[in-house]
Amino acid sequence: MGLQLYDYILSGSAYKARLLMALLGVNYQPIAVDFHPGGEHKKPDFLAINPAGTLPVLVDGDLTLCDTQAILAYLAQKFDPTDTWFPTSDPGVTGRILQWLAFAGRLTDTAGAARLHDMLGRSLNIEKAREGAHKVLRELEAHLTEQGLRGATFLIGPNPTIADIACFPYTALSPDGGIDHDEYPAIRKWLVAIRRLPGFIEMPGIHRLHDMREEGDS
Amino acid sequence: MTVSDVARNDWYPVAIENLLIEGQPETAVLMGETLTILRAADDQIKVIAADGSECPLTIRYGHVWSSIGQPEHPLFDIPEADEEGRRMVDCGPVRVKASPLRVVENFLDIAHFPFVHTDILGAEPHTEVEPYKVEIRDTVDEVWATKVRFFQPQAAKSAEEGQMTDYMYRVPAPCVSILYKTSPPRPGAWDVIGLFVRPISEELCDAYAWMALYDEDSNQTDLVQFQQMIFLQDRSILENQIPRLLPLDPKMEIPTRADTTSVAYRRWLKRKGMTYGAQLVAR
Amino acid sequence: MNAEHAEKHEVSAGWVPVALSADLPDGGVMRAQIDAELPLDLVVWRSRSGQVSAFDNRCPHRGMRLSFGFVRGERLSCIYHGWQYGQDGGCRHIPAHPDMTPPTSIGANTYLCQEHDGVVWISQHADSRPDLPESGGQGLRSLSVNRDEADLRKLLAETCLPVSGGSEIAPADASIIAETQTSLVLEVASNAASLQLMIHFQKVTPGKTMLHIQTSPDLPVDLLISLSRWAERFRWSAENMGTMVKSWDASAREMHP
Repeated sequence: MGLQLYDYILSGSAYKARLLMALLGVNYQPIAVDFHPGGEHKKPDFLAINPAGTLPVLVDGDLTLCDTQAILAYLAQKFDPTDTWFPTSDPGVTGRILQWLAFAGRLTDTAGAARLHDMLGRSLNIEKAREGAHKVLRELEAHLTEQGLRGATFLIGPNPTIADIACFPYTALSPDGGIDHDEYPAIRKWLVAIRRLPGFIEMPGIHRLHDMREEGDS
Repeated sequence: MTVSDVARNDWYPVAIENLLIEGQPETAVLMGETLTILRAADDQIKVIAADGSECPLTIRYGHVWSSIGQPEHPLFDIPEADEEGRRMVDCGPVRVKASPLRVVENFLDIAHFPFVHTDILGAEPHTEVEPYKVEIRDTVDEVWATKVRFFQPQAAKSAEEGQMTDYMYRVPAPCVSILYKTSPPRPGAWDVIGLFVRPISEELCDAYAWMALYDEDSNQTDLVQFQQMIFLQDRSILENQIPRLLPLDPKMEIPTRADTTSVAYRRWLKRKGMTYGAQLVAR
Repeated sequence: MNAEHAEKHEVSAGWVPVALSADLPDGGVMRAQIDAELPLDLVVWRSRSGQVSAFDNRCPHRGMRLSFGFVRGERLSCIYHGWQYGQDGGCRHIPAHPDMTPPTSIGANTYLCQEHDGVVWISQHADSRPDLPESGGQGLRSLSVNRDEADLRKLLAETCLPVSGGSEIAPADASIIAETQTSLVLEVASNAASLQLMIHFQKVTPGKTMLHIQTSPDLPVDLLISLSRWAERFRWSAENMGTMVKSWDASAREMHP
């Protein structure tokens, strides 16, 4: 039996795993969990698989991983023959990737939360979530600006890593929660670069890049 | 603004029936008014207004329907809901910062399929919308579109390959749109998908998708999430249509022949005096 | 500019900067808001051949924001139904009716859009070209600040800029050497190097300004990064200015009731 992913189509976190597996060309079996409206992720059958009640969960034989960042690291280590998605030979690079994986958590907690509030009616302090999201996006914008000045397209360097995958979904989906990208040109450039990667797949809320299909293409 | 009688005296979805748990009341805002929906100890469901009075109640199509007025008509009928062999699917509410009328109108449109539901409900270069038939059926006071056809790479969760899909559209109430489409496992029968919209305000609503379809293979969660995917693809469009209120003045936006259903819908709304979520002149 | 599609909006400013050229690549689409007598919400886009254009951010079909659209060749397409617009705003193609030539009455409202010296400018008026100092600069970054333009100009008059002298980067007093309705040029002259920053102001909404910042050409990367960090510090001062003054007032009152 191959890889299984406990998944929810609208989850930005689960999408991180789906996206990396698409970019790496990894096959897996998705197992849809009724996050909404059923709240299945908080019920005993799912809690037996992941007591934290979160998605996604990756199962590979005897191994069960319940944290998105851990899943990304595992997938890159196991399935990337180029050793570029999560290189571990240089401690500085590894450290930077882990720093941005942690940063991704702040995107989830601000932009991701605002999205849940606006989209699924979750109760929370929406003004605080949006303010927090702009603060986090400003940090991302400043870093991507500097990367651009260094001639690098992605968070760590010229090649995408799991740090980019971790930060991508809730940044791309922030307009779902009322946080637009109009004041972040470096972020916009980076989002397009990720969407152009060979093997990229969308999720609801992220449109296909129709410009990649030229006029007259059949 | 004060809610017109047409809007007030109608039925709106406020909860999904089988998710209501005794002792755990839910709230739903309907046109600015907060309603509480509860399941009492005797399993009776009640909807209570903010002032404590009981609101009208109908339970149908898996949803609890209520009103802040006094509807003079029963809830519309969907006979397919009682047909044997169909799966009934409640997809859950999704909140959209848009007029309920924009939400309904989007559900009546197929020309956006190749661009918004790319490689699922439509794909370039199959973008042409052939002429179809639209009428306002005065006996039942509903808008109907028939003889609609479109090529679809993946018409439903059950579809194994691309196919020409036949559609019919029906608007039985200003905030409800129902579509009927070729059922991939049972050509000749219609799968039914309803979009039931509850206006929270004129520019914010909760949209409940519901389906009655033929599918023996997919599990329930997969069916729910296929429809959620489709609706979420529409949501970022809906939230970025300006003006937010649906213009009922035909000079404000430019339709083409592909938009005949939406033109009839807007004309029908104006005739009924349904102004909640609409604008007659630029506001 | 297609006269059929132009509508008269009264706008007090002439040319307004909306982006650094480098931030709008070929095929790029972005939104620009301008706080004018009537607030403007625009889509600014660049065709594949490099031509910039600006329209009202609203497709005349069903009101969809064109800034969500995409570029193919020399046309901008609306994301909703794929309606295609040429650079003059005229609708060229409606995918639902592929054999029909769209009526000439269907189009997006256009604005004059020009590129000058590495910055993209918008205007409502049929003027010659933007009034700004020749800069020959390179784009640094665009920065959004929650502050009015007037406050920002005042603060810029008192700022220091990082300059490199040999292997070090240290702050040095900057002075305004040129100022126009849209822009301001800061210069630091020191023994080791002279440095200029060209700052172009876009009033976005009341209380929010975008600064489009260019620098002298051929600066080393580490100095460019220092300048980017200067911009962050400048924004912090500008946005916390009011807070700092308020708290000083409060403590002063405590001392002298």
